[in-house]
Amino acid sequence: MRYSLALYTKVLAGLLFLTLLTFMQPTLYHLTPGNTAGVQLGISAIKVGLVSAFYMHLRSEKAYLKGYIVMALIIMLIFFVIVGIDVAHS
Amino acid sequence: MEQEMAYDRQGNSYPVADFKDDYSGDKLGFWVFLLTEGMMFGALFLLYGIYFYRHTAIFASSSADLNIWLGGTNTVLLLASTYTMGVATLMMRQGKLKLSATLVGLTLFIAIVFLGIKASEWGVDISHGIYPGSALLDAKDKGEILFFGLYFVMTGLHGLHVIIGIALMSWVLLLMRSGGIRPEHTIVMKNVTLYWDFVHLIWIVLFPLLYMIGV
Repeated sequence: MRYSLALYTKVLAGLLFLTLLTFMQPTLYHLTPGNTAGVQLGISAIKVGLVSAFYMHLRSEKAYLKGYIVMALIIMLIFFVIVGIDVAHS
Repeated sequence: MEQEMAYDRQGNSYPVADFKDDYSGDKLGFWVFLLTEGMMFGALFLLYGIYFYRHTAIFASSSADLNIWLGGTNTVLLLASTYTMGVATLMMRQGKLKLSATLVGLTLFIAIVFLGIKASEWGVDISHGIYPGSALLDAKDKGEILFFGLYFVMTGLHGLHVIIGIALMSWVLLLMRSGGIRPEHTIVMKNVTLYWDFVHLIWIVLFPLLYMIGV
């Protein structure tokens, strides 16, 4: 994949739109703090995906590097789920 | 003994004479470092999640005490700086050295402004007696003590990474001057850009958790 100024600028526009959405969400939809955190983290996840795919060039990286990252995320997710279950039942 | 092979940016293999200028190896090593950093911040996010679950209402009301405009300004600043640093690397690869150096300088400036805003935010909190271990904070609800404790630890650790980023960008500028970074040799700049993107990624998650849940 070829990274260009045009692509970087398009991604910037997308990120700015999502940042605006982050600010507007509580005004547009007034939710409970728990649901607000969920929606906000959902928007953050899309932003993280855009930055890592295009600015950090993960989209065009070799499979082994993507594999390392996915493996690290899975390990972290396992810790999150185990601790989450423990906290929810204690 | 079998000849060890390395790969250049285009994926062409070549025999390893030494470990200098190993583009793939340098990049992989830096990614492994970033993953360990991610694990460190991940532990803090997990801790935040646990206490948010246990003190949801207090965390929301404590979050409302933070200045969303300053936090929001910093969010936009970091986003802009990720763009300028990324474009700087693109320009270096295209041989536009002067423009590239200007963009790195601009990123550096934005990072300093970010730190200045964060310092002023901390200054206001501290002048109001809100800091870990203060008599005023210790007299408050347990949830509020935890929220502000996590706020100072997480933004402090992130701020430390911004300071390291400023030092690294200054080093990049020096290397650009000395020819250590040039269009056909950009791995140091690429890794510093990756580092700065990572600093931005952490803030993307930190900002809503700290500032938006109480709006």
